[in-house]
Amino acid sequence: MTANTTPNAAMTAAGIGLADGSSGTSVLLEDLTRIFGATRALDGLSIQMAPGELVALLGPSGCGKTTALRIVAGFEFADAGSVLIDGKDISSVHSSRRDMGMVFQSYSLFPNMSALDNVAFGLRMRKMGAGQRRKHAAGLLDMVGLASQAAQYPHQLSGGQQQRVALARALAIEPRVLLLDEPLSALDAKVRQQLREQIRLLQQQLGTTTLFVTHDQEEALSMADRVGVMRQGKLEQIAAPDELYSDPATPFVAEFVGVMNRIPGELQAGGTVLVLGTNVPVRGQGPDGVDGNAVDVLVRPEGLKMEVTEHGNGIVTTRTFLGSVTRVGVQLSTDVAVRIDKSSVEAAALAPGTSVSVTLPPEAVHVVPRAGRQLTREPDAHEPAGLTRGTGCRQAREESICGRMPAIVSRMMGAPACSRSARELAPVSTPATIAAPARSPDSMSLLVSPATASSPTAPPRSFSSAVSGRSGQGRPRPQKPASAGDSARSINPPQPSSSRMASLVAGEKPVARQTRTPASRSRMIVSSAPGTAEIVPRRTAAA
Amino acid sequence: MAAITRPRRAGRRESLPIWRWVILVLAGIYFLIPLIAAFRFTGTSAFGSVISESGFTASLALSVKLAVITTVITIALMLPTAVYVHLRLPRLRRLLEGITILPIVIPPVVLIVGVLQIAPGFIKSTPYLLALEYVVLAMPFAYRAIDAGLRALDLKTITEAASSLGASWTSTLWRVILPNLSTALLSSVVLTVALVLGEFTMASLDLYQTFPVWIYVNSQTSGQVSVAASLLSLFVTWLVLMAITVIGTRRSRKRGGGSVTLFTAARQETAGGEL
Repeated sequence: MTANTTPNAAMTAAGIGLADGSSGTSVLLEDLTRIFGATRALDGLSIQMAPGELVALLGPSGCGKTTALRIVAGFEFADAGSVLIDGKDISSVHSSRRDMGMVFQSYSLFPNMSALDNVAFGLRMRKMGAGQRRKHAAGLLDMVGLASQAAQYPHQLSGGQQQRVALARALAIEPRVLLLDEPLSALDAKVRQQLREQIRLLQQQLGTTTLFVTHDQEEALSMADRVGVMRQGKLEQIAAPDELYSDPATPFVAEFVGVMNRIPGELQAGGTVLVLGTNVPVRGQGPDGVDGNAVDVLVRPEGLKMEVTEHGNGIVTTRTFLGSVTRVGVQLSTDVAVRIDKSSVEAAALAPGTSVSVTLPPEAVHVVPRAGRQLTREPDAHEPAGLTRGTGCRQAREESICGRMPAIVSRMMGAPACSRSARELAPVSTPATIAAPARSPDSMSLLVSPATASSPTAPPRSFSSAVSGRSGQGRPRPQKPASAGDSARSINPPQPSSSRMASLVAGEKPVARQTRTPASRSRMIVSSAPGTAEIVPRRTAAA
Repeated sequence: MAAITRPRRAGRRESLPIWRWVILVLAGIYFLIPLIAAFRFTGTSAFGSVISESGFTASLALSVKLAVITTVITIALMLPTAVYVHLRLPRLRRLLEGITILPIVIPPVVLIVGVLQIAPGFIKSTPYLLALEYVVLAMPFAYRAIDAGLRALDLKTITEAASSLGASWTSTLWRVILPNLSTALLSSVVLTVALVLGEFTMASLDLYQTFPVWIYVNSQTSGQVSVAASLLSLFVTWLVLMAITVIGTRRSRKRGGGSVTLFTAARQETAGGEL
């Protein structure tokens, strides 16, 4: 992606003025409500945007963010509330007279026009002379680095090029507000990142007030001045990206933005919660609908402390190198696992199997109900899959990973088969203590202790009790026995998960560890010989 | 086993083109023999006398007029309807498909009797009543051709994009939708024109001498000239259809689409690759 000239020069050539600090338009969404049948797509949404500001609306599918954008664009009309641009209510103004440039999620270039004509279309509608508009459009194409593609038709352009032409087309009319409806979602990661930077640069230089809708938090956090997190038609929180991450207003925001651990805790009197043996204050009012004192505490991977100790409360299971930081997966008890970020230098000593002590600093934390809770957010594919605790969590996690993770991984994590390939798998007896992936399915490692099958070591009840403050809860779902005709492919017999944990804690090294490759992802089953577990290509006939 | 199956497969592959040729030849014989027979019956001299035959010019002029009027009315009715249904009432698409098929199901005799019963007198007294009847007959063909073109477009997105850039509804229709539907419109025009130029039942029942009626009437007195006129009209219609297919395909390929037939329009393809 190389622009022929610098953006500033191109903008000057295109006759577009740079932001002078006073340009831009203020936008106010006031109590917007939109109802589709029985669904409240928007439920009293209010947002105020300063001139030249880029606000991103972030949220899961169906949260109403696109509806809000379409109401601003004039493609939808709110049942209640109003849209004010520079203080004037434009709710009843037709979309063609709102002066809003929009870049759509799907490729929206006019197929019968060249790239240049597409960019010039809005100027033509504004009765600009042919020569002037062609010059103006050429300047804009130059600005987005596509001067040489001016004569090409949309089908001759790649997806990224089409979206850049669409961006130039939207900017050509010098819109009062630029609306971006997930414009990068159809592009591959590399192109997405490049275009993301380009959009942000242009937006800052032009000073155009921009509303950006996305479900990709990385996009939102990296581009926006402020990010609004939406849920069920309502705005949960709107704040600067760093504030949203470090100071989330609600548990939903806390879990939706970034990576979050759930650790079992016990609510105490005086607005505190006992977690990992530490009494820490609870943020806000505390969770609603808590049955008893059992709650989950939400802690970021960098919010946990970890030290190597001989008889600690956790065992390192995975390490995922993320550059300067390494994300370490630590199994705390039978079905409680956390991810902890350590500097890569420090993490070098934390080999899988290392006993560690995990503690929590005495800072205020968010808590959520433990039972019947829902993980409302789908983790992004590039993020570590959530390692959560208890049946409720597991079910929520299963929902979120269905279709994103290979079925075999879901199965290893104790989830029922959620895809065709998973249903085809032979019954596998895989206890929940198998290490779950810490970053992506591709880094999945299967660890099984050799002594687990017949380990005489009784699981120390106090272990899980010490971590969770209770015992006997959140056991993994019953395992299906291997079929009789599949003895050669059977796995270690089911056993109490805690005994496996105990052997791991005791420092026994795993004897089999294989990492799955993407190429072999879809045709695998789990198999094991006595004392080992390995991953092998699946047979053609269903076992 | 493999040694046995391999030659069989190879043999089957080789035999496929032969069967295709056989079918093609059989179909060609079926269609061409009547034409060759007709051509032998007329001889070359009859073609020269077609134009000078009495009633030829008037009947052809009437048919052409009816074709133009029918086409204009059909497109004017069907295009906005199809676009509106696609944009605003997508659930009604199936219903509309069902409705538009009715003129094919209902015999033309029934249609014309009904129309003659209810049509006002001032329309009944002109041959242009036929144009209105032909609009009903042409509706299924025109709607389906336009519908196929619309399905190949992301109509909602490009309409909204045009609107956000300041285009009014008429500008959007004229500058964005129509150019992208040119092939589909061309198809519907050809189908309508071909239908009008070949329609016999309604015209004869309405007692107007359109070109097909003239061919029939003339065949009573001058059989060779009548058959020559039929062959000429067939040839001209075929030429027009071929021209539309070739031109439409060229235009379509220029914009990234596929081959054009009368009822299909390929989806837009997008170049892959890097940014």
